[in-house]
Amino acid sequence: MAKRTLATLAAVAVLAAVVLVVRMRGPVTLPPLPPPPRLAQPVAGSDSPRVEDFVGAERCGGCHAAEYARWQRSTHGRAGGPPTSGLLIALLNGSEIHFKDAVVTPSLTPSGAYVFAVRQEDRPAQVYRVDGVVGGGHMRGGGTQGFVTRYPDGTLRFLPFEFIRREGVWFCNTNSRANRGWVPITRDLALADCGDWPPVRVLGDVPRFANCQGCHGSQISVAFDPRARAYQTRLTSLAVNCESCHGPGRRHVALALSGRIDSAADIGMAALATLDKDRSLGVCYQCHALKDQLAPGYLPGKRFDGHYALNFPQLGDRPLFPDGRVRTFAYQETQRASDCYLNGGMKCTDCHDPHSQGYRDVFGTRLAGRLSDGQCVGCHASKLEPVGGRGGAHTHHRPDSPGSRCVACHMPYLQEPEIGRTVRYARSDHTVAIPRPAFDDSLGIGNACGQCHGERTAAALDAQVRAWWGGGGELKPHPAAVAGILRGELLQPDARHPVAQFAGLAEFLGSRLAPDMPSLDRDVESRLQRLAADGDLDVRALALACLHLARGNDASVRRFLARALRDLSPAEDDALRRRWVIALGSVADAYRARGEPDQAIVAYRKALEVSPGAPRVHLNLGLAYADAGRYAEAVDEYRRSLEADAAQPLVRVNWGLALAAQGDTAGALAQLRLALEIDPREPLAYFNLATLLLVGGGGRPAEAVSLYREAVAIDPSLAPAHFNLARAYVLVGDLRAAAAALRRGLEFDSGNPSARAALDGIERELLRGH
Amino acid sequence: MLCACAVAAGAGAQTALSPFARAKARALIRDHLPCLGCHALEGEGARLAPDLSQPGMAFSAAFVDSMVRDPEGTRPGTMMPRTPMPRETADLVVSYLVGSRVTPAPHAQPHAPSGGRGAPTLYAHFCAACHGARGKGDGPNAKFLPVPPAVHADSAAMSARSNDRLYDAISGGGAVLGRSNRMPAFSLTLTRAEIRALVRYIRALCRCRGPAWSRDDRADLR
Repeated sequence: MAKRTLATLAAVAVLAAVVLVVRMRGPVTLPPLPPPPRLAQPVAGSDSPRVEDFVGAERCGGCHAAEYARWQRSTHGRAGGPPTSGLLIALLNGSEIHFKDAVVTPSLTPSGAYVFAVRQEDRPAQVYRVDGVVGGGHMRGGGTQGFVTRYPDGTLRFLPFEFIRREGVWFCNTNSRANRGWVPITRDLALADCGDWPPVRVLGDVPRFANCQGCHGSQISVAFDPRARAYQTRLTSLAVNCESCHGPGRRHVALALSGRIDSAADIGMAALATLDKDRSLGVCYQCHALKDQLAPGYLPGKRFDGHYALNFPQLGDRPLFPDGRVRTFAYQETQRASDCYLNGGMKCTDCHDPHSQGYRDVFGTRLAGRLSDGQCVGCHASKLEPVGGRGGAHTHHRPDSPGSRCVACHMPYLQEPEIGRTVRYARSDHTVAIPRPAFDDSLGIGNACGQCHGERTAAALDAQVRAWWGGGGELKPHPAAVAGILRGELLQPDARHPVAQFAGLAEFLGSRLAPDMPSLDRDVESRLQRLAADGDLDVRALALACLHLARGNDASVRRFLARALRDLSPAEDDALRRRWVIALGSVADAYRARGEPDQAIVAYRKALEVSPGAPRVHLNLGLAYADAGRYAEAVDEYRRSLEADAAQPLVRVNWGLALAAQGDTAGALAQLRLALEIDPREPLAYFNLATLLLVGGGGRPAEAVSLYREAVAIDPSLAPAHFNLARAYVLVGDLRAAAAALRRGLEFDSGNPSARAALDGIERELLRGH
Repeated sequence: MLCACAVAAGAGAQTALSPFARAKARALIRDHLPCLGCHALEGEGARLAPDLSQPGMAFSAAFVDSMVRDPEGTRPGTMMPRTPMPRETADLVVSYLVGSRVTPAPHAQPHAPSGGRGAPTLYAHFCAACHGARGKGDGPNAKFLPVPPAVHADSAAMSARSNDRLYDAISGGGAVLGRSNRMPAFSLTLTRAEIRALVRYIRALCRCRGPAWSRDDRADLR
């Protein structure tokens, strides 16, 4: 799903020189925040696993045959792999998939490879080999299957054509382009309406690209290798294997082979059955959670909260309502907002057998399936008791009816809103909510009762619910934090409800705070300080960021902030600072997006106080300076960013743009060429080189044509490159090529009026020429 | 102490548990199961029942095995409830307690609660050692518990808990409700009617009712 934090996309147009006056403060001496401690060298072993420490499920099966057999039959065991007839649910048999402007043919070649051949008029066919299959259509609410192909830059990328089992159709995700959700592929749909065309969704966690993090496979490691000048992608399996949960097995296997394992207390593996609630949930949240990446390189066995933050997606796209239910898109991490978690002991494994993914009750008794009441009544045996003197049931439904199942009312399948309504992709509500039809309706959530009783209004259903379950018309109240936020009281310290507390804080940060405010209401400051001491790391970091942003100009607040960093272990310090920086960065990003670079600059500078030298913060600060027309300062920030991490081609690109804006064309060209030395497949370097040669270098359209063609060959969705290529073609007198380039650009930016007008003009010229 | 009642064939001692398996069993006993609500283990836990620190203790493997899986059937009248747990967990716990890996023999059907006992009797037998004879949280065992037991006589505190919550705590134990794992589950030891009676008894101790929203009359309670 959409990534938000510290966006790094480079500007692709020549920057306008706008001079903004940054508010100058008086010379106030403020106590500095303590510098981050040096992180201890990681200890070799399970604390710092490497890809080669993972042995694969087959090795596990050698000793743990029963568990291995159950896993092989499970949805984790069948989650993906090489394309084989046993795994494929889509027919890759030569049946064509028709778009408005393309025909895609999935087939098996004589050499035994599965491929997708993409044919479009006036351009050569493109053939993508299927190097892996992801998904098996297992999920009850809408199971899909996708395909990955190895790209020339070393990444594995999803093809945009996916198959959904229930409807038995091909579909694509249009959200990042046509914005119609997931839609079946028909002759009304253009190929470029698919947001993932050309393939841009990368397997593994690369902030530059849309990605699926590391979850559609096992031990996926992808990183740019400056020496190879390409990405290196490594993985153990496209299934979700034993070590995804148990951690790396190399040492465990070595101990077993040595014959010493029966005399060892340390067997190279943790006993997952002994984990407490939150650590057990953390194993599952490695994948079953929307999350923001804090640091690259996560592998099972590493410290999860040092790499990911579960609440931070709420800062940007606000995927959840304050009660934890899904506003746009989420996974089963919404369980953290359930009463079963907040006031109970519920872990994923209380209902889901981790080896088979079958169902069981909290005491381990196997259950028939996903509808079994045993999932709930193991803890809530009271709900089996007759109600009142009437001998009725808690459900108020006939015992053998679907409406009498616990999950029918408390865990209804709800369509993920971001998907749209065309393709069914519903997931069971893991907040285990109480049906509140009127309230649910006010949020736009399909209420559980309405799934069977769709003919009745929400108001009527609400009245029935209150009549049956409300003591005196009163339903069980929302948790205090949720109720407070619904009343507009966004800051909820001491609430022990991190999902709601974070949602409230995020709303408060976005709507009520600004950099260096003259004052804060005393109660607000007090609440923020209490939230800054919360047990939840995300909540704590966000509250600190709020105080820092709004009152970081106040000496007493700075002392408070410094105290918050005291007495932390290096790992805790690092995890807290990374969150804090992302929070400030998100505020700064928002200011940039709103065209307020001076405010953005203040927020980025605060982020650098927390994490001095952070390369992406320096890059974004440089971009903000460039937005403000302060190009010299922008260049200084780009330089600092590269000092911290030299392998950033986009920093070189933006450095080049800053020099170009100051009239230093030669310097700009040099920086753009340095970008290509880092990554010879950086399309924005080609694009900006071409643009400089076209408009800034005395007019060299022939060279520009060549460079633009490189740019669009690497990224065909780069519409401005197509448009500028057309301009270059016009200058060299090739109107037909210009028209073709405009058409291709318009496929990805169909609403661009200048390009549309230019194409009309060129086509008229071509007609006159005939 | 050996039970004369009909228990399953004794568990056959096989091989020593590995240090890892022992550590896993200890962690389950200490942090997940209710055992230390009554027993002690390596200095931790309560003193109501035999110390579990001595593998084998004074009991045979068969007795330990039977007691874990069917306490009432093994020692009629015991206050030890039958704790619901996966068979693998029970196997590991028994193996740990007897000091060696056991292969459990087939067991007879565990004793089923017969019911018919009055709430005051049940409370005195199963609850009072921790919660106190009058529900004041001052039972003799309370001082050995890391989390103070609920004070059933506390009207303010108990008014915030629904009858269902009380029922579920008795039935499912503390761990599944996010409370102390030292509070055992009684779902396999008491009948549903007995649990309902205990909820009524607790309401009598606190002289209070649950929150208004919770009163759908379930355990208000026949």
